[in-house]
Amino acid sequence: MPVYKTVLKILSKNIRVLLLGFGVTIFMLLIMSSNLSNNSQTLQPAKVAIITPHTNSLSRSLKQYLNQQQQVVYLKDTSQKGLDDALFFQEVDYILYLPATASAQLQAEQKVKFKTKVRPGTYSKEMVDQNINQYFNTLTIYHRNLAHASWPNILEKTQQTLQHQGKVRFDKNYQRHQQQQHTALDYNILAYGLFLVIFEAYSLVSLVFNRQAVKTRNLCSPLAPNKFTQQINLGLLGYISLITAAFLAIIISYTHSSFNQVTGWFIINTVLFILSTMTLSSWLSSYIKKAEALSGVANVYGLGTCFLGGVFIPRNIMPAFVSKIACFTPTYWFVQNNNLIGKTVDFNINFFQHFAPTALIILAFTVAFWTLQVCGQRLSKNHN
Amino acid sequence: MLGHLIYYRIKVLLKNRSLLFWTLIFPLIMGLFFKLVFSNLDQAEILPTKTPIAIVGDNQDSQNLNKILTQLKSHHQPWYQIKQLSPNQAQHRLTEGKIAGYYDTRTQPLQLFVARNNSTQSVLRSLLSQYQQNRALFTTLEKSQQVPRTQLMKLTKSLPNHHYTTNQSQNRNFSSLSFYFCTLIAMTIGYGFQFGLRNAQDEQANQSANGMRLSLTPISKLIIVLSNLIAAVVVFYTIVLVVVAVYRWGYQVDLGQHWPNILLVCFLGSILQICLGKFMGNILVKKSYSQKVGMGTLIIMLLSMLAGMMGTVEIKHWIDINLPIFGKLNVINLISDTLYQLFFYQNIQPIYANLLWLVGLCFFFLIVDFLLERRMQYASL
Repeated sequence: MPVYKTVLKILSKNIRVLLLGFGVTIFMLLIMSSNLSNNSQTLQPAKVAIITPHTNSLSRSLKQYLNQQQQVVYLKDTSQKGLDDALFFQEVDYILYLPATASAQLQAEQKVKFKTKVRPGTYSKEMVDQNINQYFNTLTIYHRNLAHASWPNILEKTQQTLQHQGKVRFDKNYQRHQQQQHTALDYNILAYGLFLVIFEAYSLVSLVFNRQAVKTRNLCSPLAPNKFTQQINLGLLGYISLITAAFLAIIISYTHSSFNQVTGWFIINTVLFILSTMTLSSWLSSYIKKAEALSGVANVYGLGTCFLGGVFIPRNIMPAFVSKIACFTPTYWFVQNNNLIGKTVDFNINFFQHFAPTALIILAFTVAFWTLQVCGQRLSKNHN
Repeated sequence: MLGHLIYYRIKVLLKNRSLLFWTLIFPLIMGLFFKLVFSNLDQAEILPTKTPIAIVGDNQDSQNLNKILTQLKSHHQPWYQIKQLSPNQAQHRLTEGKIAGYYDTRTQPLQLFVARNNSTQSVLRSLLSQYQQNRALFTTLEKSQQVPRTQLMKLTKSLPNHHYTTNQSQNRNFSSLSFYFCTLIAMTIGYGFQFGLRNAQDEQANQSANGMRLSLTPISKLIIVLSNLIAAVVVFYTIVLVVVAVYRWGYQVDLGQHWPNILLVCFLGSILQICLGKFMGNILVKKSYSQKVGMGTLIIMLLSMLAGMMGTVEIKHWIDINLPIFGKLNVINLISDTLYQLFFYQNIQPIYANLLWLVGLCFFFLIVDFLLERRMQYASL
């Protein structure tokens, strides 16, 4: 098996380049996964910062109330720049300026307006605005109607009244659902890494065997062209199996998944995607003549399809026409099936009716890329 | 002589397809992807309207809740589409994801049932809390016996709903798309390292045949190095300007109004990246050119990620607060941060600190490059 051994030699010589793609994917997985939604049994609160020059009973009471309703955060840097940054990068969603005179103004029943800083039109604005209005409206009603009560007493009554919370019950499948969706997003990120490592392997091997001197030498070798191609594919298949196993092992241990039905469906979908990526890489790499073009194609196609396919950004916030463009790539369908597995609780016939057509589309891509490569080879043979 | 050398070096650089691809074509393609994908990003934070929800139970609470929820509107669009459902129907629709949640008014206290954890559910919980709190308010007032019955009835019918807040950021542009394009411009400038790398490759006799030939010419090495640097800056800065122009007028991305400062940042960033590339070329003598390009490209991608380019703004912000020096030494972050400040800040005073860092780093690498190349001798070629 001389060709098979040569393929392994080429891959081992370039192991650093190949492992680079692997490392980048793992790094992306860790970074992007940490940004994903949580699985906690509490609804996501808005992050509120209260800026006040003077802490008094009113500011303490308001802070306590807002902390019950949302999440009051402390900002290290309260300069204009620090607050702007905190708001833009969503370290905080809502900034409330509470002047030192607020307590006196409210006691004197003066009309007050508190300055806030918040992204206009966002749900955090609506929600925290309502909370603040609720607090001060309650306070004012008590102050106006309980004539004999002292100011600390009114604050206490307000606090007691506002302690009442809406009781939230999560659906029985919520925890499982969140966990699966999180796992689906992790599998989605594999789309980038798998393309990178598979395409680079095919291209590196193709660059060597397509070199004119090597090509002419191989033409007069005693090995039949079919055997030749078989041995190349066998070598690459071994490498891809190894790298896929490594990717899957990492993702399974990272997401704390057990070997159940869900993991099985995720693996089936990944294997289908790998098949399409293999034929695509094989086809594309046959046109690459220079090493410099390799990373260009890998980045443009890899990043492009991942962006458009919804790997990095959820599809629901993309314009509809982007999905229409993206559906011409296997990445889109891979993500589609991962998301389907992620949101399914009962893997019944209904699930299969949705999964199977998408899986067939990925297989159709595999066949299409393979056909394109065969046609390309025949054409170039006739041309020569 | 200098003009002659610059002219021919520009011709050489313009014929290098790889350089043009990474610094011009790739950023334009990435920009197109960003424009397509991120154009609706800010709308994810906006509260959706006509969200389907349900109320279970037929009593005073369900009627009150229905009345309150129906009144909620933004831009004349109701927040919710409310349906009165049986418990089984509501549970079924919730599991299928057809409703965002439902209120069960048959129990005390009232309960909100949800199957997701998004902004919609948070607002639904907030509204339920307010409803419970208003009920507690009336109970307290009633128990106090200080409020006349008529006054209490009046309050029950319409609670005072005074607005206590006024948003100071009403007219500010929080566009995330603009921020991502700032990082993309920084990444484009980052790829300028390849021009420096190419210069080092062509100047050093132990790295290329061109370098050997140049080392034998009867012209001062300083003139050659200077002409190569000027040519690289001219070509690369022009490319950056083209990219910025396409982003602004082609892709319609708002980059702010401070154009002289934006162009200055791009200029300083271009020089810095060319110097950095040259530094890389001078110290990694034993690596091949393609290996150096591959390594540099990967570093730029990682630095771009740390600058917040791939949806990693939280990491970028954490570094800026907790490791500010690292944030400044990450040149991609330094450039993108300056561009973001020019876009978002009302007072652009803080950008001068960043400009100082850019100028300082430029001088540092210019001097280091000069020292590395000065009186360079080769034992054998």
